[in-house]
Amino acid sequence: MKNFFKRNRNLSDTDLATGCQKGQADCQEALYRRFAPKMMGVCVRYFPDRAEAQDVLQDAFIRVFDKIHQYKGQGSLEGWVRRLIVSTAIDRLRKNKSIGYLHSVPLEDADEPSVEADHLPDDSDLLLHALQSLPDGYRAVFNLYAIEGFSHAEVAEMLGISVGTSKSQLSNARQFLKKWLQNHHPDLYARKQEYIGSAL
Amino acid sequence: MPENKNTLDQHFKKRLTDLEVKPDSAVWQNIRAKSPAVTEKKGGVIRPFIQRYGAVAASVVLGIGMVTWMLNPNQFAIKPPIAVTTEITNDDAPIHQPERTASAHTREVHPAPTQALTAITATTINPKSASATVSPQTMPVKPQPKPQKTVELPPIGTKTVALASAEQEDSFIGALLPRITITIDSDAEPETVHSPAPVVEERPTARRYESPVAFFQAKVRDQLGIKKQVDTENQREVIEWNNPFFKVRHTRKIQQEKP
Repeated sequence: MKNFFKRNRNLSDTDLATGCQKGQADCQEALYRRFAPKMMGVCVRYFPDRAEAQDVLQDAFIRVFDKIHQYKGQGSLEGWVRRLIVSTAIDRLRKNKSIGYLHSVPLEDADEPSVEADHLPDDSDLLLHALQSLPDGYRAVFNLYAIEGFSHAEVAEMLGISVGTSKSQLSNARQFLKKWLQNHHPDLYARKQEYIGSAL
Repeated sequence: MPENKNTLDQHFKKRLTDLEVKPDSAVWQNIRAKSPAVTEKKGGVIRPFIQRYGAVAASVVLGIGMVTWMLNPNQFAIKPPIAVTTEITNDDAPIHQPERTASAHTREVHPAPTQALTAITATTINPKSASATVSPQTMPVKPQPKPQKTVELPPIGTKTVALASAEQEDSFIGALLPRITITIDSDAEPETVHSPAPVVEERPTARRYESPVAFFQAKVRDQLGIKKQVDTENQREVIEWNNPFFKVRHTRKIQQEKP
């Protein structure tokens, strides 16, 4: 079985999608093996609970195989699969009524500059941990706006909230992350103080 | 859409976009179970079973076979079909033995089933004055350069010529075949005297196979009780398979090898 995936590792996205469209079980499994780790990485950004993230991954791949006929080869297969994963994650978030969107920060502060990139940690696990520490509402907006690249209008439509709420959630998320990183990554705070001191 | 220039956002995007987390193996099982679009692999139960365990089973069988062979190669030897000696004499003529003849003292002759039904005569004789003659009506299995073979009998006491092997005696045809013992007195006295010299039995040498495939083919034939003989007269190959359920007899023309 492992040999099969070694052989199919070189299959192009088009061949893989064509095989899946023909209902070839080997190609379906190969597609899952190729993209599952990255898509699981997407899911854990939205859902800190691993079991819930795997549920979303499972539902998303079921949708992928149901809708694989809609993939016409335009754009990368990975991008197409990723969009379905995000869409499934958003559906799950919208169904989850317990998500609260806190409005504690005024809207005019939403576009304040962030910390210097050099002072931010490079450890992906630490950053993921910081992201997962966000409240659900902050995390959803930050994921969609900052990482997925949607606009506030799109985020608002996806989550069923107003554009203002989306902006405030994003601002809150940034402030939360800065504080969290300062607490959990002491170098960040020290370097920032040095930077401020030198600027003065 | 304006580009997001926030460094915090960019840093998170850069580090987390291609983040990989390995899901549990149960996820794929659930997808396959729940999704109607995901097809089951072809081959049902038997093919995956063979794929999974076939190589292991073949390795075990091959290993056992090789170990057994290494421990006792003669066990795997197929006794060569030695032609029934048409004439045994004690003359001073040079020895003309087939290449695979085990011994002049004691020889086990394995006639084909068709040969087993031939009339065989045996006589107790004095080797100094006479000869023992065994005259089968059919030709021997191996093509013989001469119709008659002459084997010099050394002057020792008792010689035993068994015309049927133990295996053939166990078989139906073998049961019909009497075990013929020729006692030859090497002394000048006319009466038969048994010499105290022990009867030396030698095993036939292990047959060398052309290839491992030929070896396994021979072993499979042995295990299944398939007998393969060559009818040199008619230039045909006879394959017989007798078992409790059915009997198969297949003859085919021998393919002449091109020089």
